[in-house]
Amino acid sequence: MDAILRAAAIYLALLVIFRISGKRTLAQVTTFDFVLLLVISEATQQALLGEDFSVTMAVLVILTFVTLDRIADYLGWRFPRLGLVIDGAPVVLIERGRPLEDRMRQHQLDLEQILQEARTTQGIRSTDEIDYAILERSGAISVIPRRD
Amino acid sequence: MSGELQLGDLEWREQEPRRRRRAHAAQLVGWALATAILVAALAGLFGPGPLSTATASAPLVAVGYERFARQLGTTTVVVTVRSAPAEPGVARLWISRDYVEKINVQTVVPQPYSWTAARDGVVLAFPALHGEATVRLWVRPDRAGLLRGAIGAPGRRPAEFWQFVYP
Repeated sequence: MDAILRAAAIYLALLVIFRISGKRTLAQVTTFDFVLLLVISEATQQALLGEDFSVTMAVLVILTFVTLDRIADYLGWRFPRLGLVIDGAPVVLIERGRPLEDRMRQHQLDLEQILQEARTTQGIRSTDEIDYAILERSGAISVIPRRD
Repeated sequence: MSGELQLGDLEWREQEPRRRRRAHAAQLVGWALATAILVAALAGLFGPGPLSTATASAPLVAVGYERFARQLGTTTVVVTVRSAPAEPGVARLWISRDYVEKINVQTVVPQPYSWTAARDGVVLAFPALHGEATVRLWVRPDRAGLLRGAIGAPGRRPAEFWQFVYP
């Protein structure tokens, strides 16, 4: 029983920590973000399994995580307001080519970072080629090029 | 000319300045909370640290312990025990049963002469140099929650203490 409770507690703790830390925390912008992700998973694993490395324990923990994730997805779909709390909402950063500075500041983003994303995903050179830029729930920035 | 960006109604509503400010404020509160937790952890609220270190004493014994421990983590209890006047050369230490039952004693340094069951606990005997022995116990709490213990010299008033064990 304690395996399931422990997994649930960790699920909740991770959800809260990553929700408050912001969308861009581990959006894998740099190699270091990726390394950090690995380190975090290693630290979590110890707490999840304790000293029990049995197959039963692993299956129970995985099952708990998958079930909780399904429940969270279902609740977010059934009650969209709750979904906003769990997953957040996309944030429009550039609207019709106009950068929205206050929103970028709130998410500690600057034009350079958006331009980097625009270069890598769309091959865009400068801001005036961007129609929309949206910070998605995943932490990725979608860039929609201007089509004139 | 490109078209309008399509988002859900709730998603558009989240773009309103008032709602964004609220989300941002919630995030700031979260950061403040995370910082507070880290500062508290540095101070010893979740384990070893100034807030956690405590002592208790009773006739013939002085106990140093951590107020805050973690389940399945190791915590040390340091006891200085003096030998009873009737028995020089031997220092005897009594540990209450309710404490011994809820912990896993990993190591005791120095090695006791004997572990004997006694009324409501166990008695450990150590060689006493200059009439006293300093005993270090590495202890692993098995259960989370409040842990009450008492350590003393056999037959005398023990030093009582509590430890909070985090899950």
